[in-house]
Amino acid sequence: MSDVTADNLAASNRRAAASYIGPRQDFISIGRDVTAIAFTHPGYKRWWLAFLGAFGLLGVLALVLFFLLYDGVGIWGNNIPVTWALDIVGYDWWMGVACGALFISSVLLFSEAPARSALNRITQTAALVAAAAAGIYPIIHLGRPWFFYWNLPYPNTLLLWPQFRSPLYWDAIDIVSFLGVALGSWYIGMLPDLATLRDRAFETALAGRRRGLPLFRAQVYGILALGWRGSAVHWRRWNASCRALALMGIFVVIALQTGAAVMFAGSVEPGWHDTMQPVSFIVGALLQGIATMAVLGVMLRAVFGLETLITRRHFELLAWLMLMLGLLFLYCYVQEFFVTALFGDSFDKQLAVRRFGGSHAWSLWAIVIGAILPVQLFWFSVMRGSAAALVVVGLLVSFGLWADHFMVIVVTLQQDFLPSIAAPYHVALSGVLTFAGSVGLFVALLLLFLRYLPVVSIMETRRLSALRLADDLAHGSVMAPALVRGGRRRG
Amino acid sequence: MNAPLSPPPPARFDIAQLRTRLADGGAAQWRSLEQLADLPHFRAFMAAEFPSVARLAQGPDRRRFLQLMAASLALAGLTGCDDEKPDGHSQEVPFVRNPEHQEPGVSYAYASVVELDGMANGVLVTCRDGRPLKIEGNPQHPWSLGGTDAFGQASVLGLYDPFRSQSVRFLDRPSTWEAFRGAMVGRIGALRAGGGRGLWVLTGAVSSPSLLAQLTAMQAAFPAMRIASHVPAGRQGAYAGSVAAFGQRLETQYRFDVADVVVSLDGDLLDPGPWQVGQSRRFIDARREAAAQGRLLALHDASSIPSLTSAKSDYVLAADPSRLIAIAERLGGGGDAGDAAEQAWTARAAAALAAARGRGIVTVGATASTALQAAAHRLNDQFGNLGRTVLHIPAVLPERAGLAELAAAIDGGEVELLLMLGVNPVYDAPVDVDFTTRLAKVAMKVHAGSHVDETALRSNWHLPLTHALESWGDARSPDGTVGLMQPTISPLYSGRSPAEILSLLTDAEPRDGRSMLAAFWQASLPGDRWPAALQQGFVAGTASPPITPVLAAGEAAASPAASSAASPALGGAGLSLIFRPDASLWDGRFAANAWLQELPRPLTKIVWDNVITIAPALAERMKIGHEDQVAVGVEGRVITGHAWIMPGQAPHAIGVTLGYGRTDAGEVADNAGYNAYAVRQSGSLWRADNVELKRVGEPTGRLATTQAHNTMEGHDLVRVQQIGAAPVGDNTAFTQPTLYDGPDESRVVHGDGVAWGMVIDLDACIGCNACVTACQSENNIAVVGPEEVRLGREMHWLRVDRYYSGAVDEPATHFQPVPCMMCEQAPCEVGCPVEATLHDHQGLNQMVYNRCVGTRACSGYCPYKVRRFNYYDYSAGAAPSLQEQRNPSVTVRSRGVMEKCTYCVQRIAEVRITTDKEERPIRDGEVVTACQGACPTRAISFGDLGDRTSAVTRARADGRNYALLGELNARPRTTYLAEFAPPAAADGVKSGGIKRSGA
Repeated sequence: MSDVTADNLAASNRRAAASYIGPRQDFISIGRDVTAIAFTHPGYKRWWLAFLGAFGLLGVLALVLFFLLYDGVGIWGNNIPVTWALDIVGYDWWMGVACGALFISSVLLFSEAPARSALNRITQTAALVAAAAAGIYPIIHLGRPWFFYWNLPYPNTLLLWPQFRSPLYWDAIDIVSFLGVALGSWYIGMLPDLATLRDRAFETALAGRRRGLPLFRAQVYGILALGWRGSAVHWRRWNASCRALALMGIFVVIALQTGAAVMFAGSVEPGWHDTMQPVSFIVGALLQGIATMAVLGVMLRAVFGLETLITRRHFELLAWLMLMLGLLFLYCYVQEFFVTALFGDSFDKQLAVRRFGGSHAWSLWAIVIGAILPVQLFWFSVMRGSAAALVVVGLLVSFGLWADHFMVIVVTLQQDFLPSIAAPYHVALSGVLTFAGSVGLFVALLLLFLRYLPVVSIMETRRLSALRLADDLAHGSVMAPALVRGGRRRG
Repeated sequence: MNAPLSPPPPARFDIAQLRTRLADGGAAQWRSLEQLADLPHFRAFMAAEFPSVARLAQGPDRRRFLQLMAASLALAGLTGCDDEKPDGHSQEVPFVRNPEHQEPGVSYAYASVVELDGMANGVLVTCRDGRPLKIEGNPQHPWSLGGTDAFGQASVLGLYDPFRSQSVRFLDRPSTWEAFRGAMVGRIGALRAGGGRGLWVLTGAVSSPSLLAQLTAMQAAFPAMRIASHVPAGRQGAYAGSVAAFGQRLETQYRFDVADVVVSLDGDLLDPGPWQVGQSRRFIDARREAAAQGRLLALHDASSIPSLTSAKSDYVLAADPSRLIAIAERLGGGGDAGDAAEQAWTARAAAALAAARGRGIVTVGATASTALQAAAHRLNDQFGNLGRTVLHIPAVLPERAGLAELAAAIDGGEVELLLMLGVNPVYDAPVDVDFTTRLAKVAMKVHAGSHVDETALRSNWHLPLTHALESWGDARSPDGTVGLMQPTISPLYSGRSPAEILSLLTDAEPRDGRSMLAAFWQASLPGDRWPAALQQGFVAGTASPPITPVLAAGEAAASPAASSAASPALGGAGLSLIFRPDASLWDGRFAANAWLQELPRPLTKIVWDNVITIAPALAERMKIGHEDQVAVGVEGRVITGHAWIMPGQAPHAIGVTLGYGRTDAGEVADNAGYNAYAVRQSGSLWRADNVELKRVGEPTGRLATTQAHNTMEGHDLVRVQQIGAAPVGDNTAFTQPTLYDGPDESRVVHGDGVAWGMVIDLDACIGCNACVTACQSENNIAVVGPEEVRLGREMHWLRVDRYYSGAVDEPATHFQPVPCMMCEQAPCEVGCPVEATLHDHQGLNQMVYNRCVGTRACSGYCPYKVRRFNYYDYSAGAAPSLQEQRNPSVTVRSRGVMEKCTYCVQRIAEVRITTDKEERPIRDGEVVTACQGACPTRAISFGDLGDRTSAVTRARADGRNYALLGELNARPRTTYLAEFAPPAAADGVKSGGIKRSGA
């Protein structure tokens, strides 16, 4: 972003950008506030409580996985015909979170939107962690999870390769790519901030009396910062890689959601075999990702006291996006319904009827109540600015999208063509526990990341404050030394 | 030892002799005077009670001791060679030199028979490496004609059943045959002296000529001995009917091939039982032949409880039990008319019978009342069918005293020794006989059976019986043909056959089964004819010639008007309880057979349980819901079970099945279902009137069923071909538009030109499940248990779907066996990321188990859902004996692996290897799949679709041929032939109860 200078931006843009940080934040305060979270941790007790909770859920996951690996996937209650149930629902849902999060961060970064300042780190971290939570499912849901690597192309003595026609193979490649891109954009994007942490840590360590642990911490941050010195060449290369990764992020999100959709569309099953499926999946994933990010943003803002860095403007942006995607999501549903009603064959029509009134009809109504209706609240300005509304709607949308995956998978599998094969499917406790465990994994990893790494991007928010300073200077309301003092590069 | 047993002969100690013995330096330590005296009975006692110490009790001499020490030291080293965990294989030692006539891995088939209630079906037993593995039909057998039933198919599992009785037991403790013989010698001697008074032999149904001769010989030696027989699900009713009509005990046989119409009253023409295989084959063959001539061999059925016969019938009537006699009379021109449905059915059937004089058949089931049996005989006489379409032969089973006589004898104190051969009356005697209490009064009870069952536990001695696959024997088929039973393996345990047990008791030197059987047949099959007969599995020309019985005087005119009551108003009153053998467990004898337990009952699709079936109208009236718990009261006795609302059941009939509610029959059998014997009365075995029905509880969710939806929900999954109408078959599966080039046949004939395909004739399928069991037996399919079935995880590769169409009170029933369709453009193959399912060069859709990682995508993608998944390690932990049953040509699937029908690829491969070696193409019919071979009605054709002359190609060219879900363009290799239905013109009377389009 080195080429983004005060001169290149119109004054109005600068003012708009400046509204994404609090009025009293400047270079120094940003560095202090954010590094303080990593070093001294203001919400120590709350963090520990949250982490213990998440760790407990992680224990549940470990227990379920033990039984799963010991006994077999039978513990989940899947059967014939419902061979995929909560496992793939959980996978698709987490991938929705991950894809939505990565997509937002990539689009924000690529479009140089000012809103990215506070959101980028959260979205990138969430994308990575959600992909990790999702990534366990394709492995553990296998009948023989110890052979999961057979899904990947690797040279072997049997000269066996995965089947390249299979959407499941595409999905395996997609998720590996996704993890790579998400990890890359997260880590590379964090380099300048890690350098700031490194510098601050060395300062603290050298100033203090006890050197052991603080110095060790400084050394760890130093290694993680990969020798970032903040030279102009560094910034140029960094900028180029961030933009390249952002572009790849957009591609991989589209590829992954399309691939996941083709896992269904590629079959002949009613309700799956549908060319609109990839579009619905992308829209659903984005909606879900934004909803989850909204919930996360509001919660982190409360937990870490980031009111001045995550502002009402962020909320409004998220609310508008949710409304827009919610409408697109509704469009996909209405389109599918009308196409089925007008042109569908008898099996498609019967499936539609089962979705509305079958044994798992609750999932359709959960979509309506969770994902389609609540976002309409954001037509109202007061709702768009409300943190509480964002959390409530975000949670409802997340649940609605979970129900969406459940409906698509289970209602189709439970009875597709032959009435004789219809078998009842009941959600088994261990399936729910596995999902709860994956939530624990997500939250625990997120908390660890946010505990030891900068919660919001120091570099980006500083840039915003620099923009505002430039703006203020232009209006003569601030003395120049403030910029000089704050502008001394520390990392 | 807390019950009376034969006291040992009083010991006589010669004290003086003992003193001498001690003085001579006899045993240094002695436990008892008996030991010191070294009396023979003490040695016998030691041998029986402590077999392992008996030797030691004698004390080794120095030389023997040194031998033992040396051997122990040498053997101690061998322990290092052994697997620590005994898995049943650790004792195997490879042959250094192969035994003659045995090639490892090569299958041999022996002709034999399997028996059910004394009636035999001819089978070929496939053995490999000395182990019988699979039952096939014997195509040369004059009665079964190559077909088999589920019982026969499952009998191979019965052989390896780990819960089989393995040793002689005395007062439920292990004992020996020697001890048994020793205990019996005195008693039998005493009985012999008394002319056999006090000796009773209780058998099951016995048609075996050699065993009957042995019993006759025994009767001669013991003139006052009594032989009784107890057959819980026997044909006594049919014999009683023929006695009532003709004054003699007869078997009735039908010539369907010269018949135009079959009218069945409460019939069991196609139902499970000893007659099923031969009878269903003859019926379906005739029906096929008639259809080829453009007419329908129509089956009219009026019955109270839906059965396979009513399911296959073209005109079905749900008739209340009390109306059956009236319907029979009405068919003969008398009686009252009944309600509209009954009137319509009766008029149609009567007209058809009258039109086909001499070419009609009236048949009744063995469970029907004597009056109805007699009425059917009269009707056949009236319509001139006797001697033409309806033939009679002398009864295959001899007349015997029943349990009632035995009970009376016990009450009179006349039974000293009761020998029970292969029966379990404590469990399956009618409740009013109170056999358990009576049995306790008999001084010496000897039970011979395959399991330590309820009766064994209440007897002094229990003797293990050999399995049919371990024994020599013979048995008659329903047509009188004598089948020869030969062992295919030496007895796994210490069992003996009934003949050997009788010999043990009566002969000075016990004889073995083989020599006895050979001796019996020596006279009629001298020289080479005996081995020839053994080789073909039956004695040719022993079918009984038909006789022409004369209707007993006065019978023709007799009219039991008293019984033709009109149906009472629906309500709590006027309900009849109808007993039926279970379609899988029969009378309960197969309760320990896990294959049969897990075999979905043809109509209810229930496994591991039995239910109380009630009519929809009755359920509605009494507000009983599906699977509610209900109690049925018969004369103060009550059974409680799950209600099952049965479409097509008569409103006043309540159906119960025998065989469940076991308490002492082992892990597999116990604690499932209700025991219908608890309300069964000896006076009326198959029907109890004026029973009470009460709803007593909510559904428990314990019932496990493999099919939850009962109708086709508007789709033409089972098509129906009305006789004379335009063909309903089509070629949609192969005429779908495509963007790809190439001639249509290019996918059919590729690779080496062989294209395997299957055609299933739905008209021939009677829903008997023989194919399902055969598939399980051939392909090592795991049994998963009721809990897993409830979760929807049964493993059968081949399932028989059952659909109803039409009104719920009188629906048409359709069966549709669904194996893998072997789609040419298989949707499943696209899904698999590791290419574990793919096509071979002959068009088989194959599963590569060791490549499968278990994504289950293939099952999700399969439109037919024929794939099965090992959610747990279902095949692990099987008893070593059960592992012996497994087909070595078929992989035993591990946990986490998908599996499905392979068209028996191992059989294809075997033939392919043979023909490759002989450098010739595979002949049509050379590869027979397990399901195809088992089918009693030959409903399945299998072969090469690339061969223009093959049977399967011809079947596919039939106008009835259609593909299930053909519009999906998966191009299935398995296709179906539509069911036949009456022509449209016959529709004028009433639409209900007539088989019509499936949808």
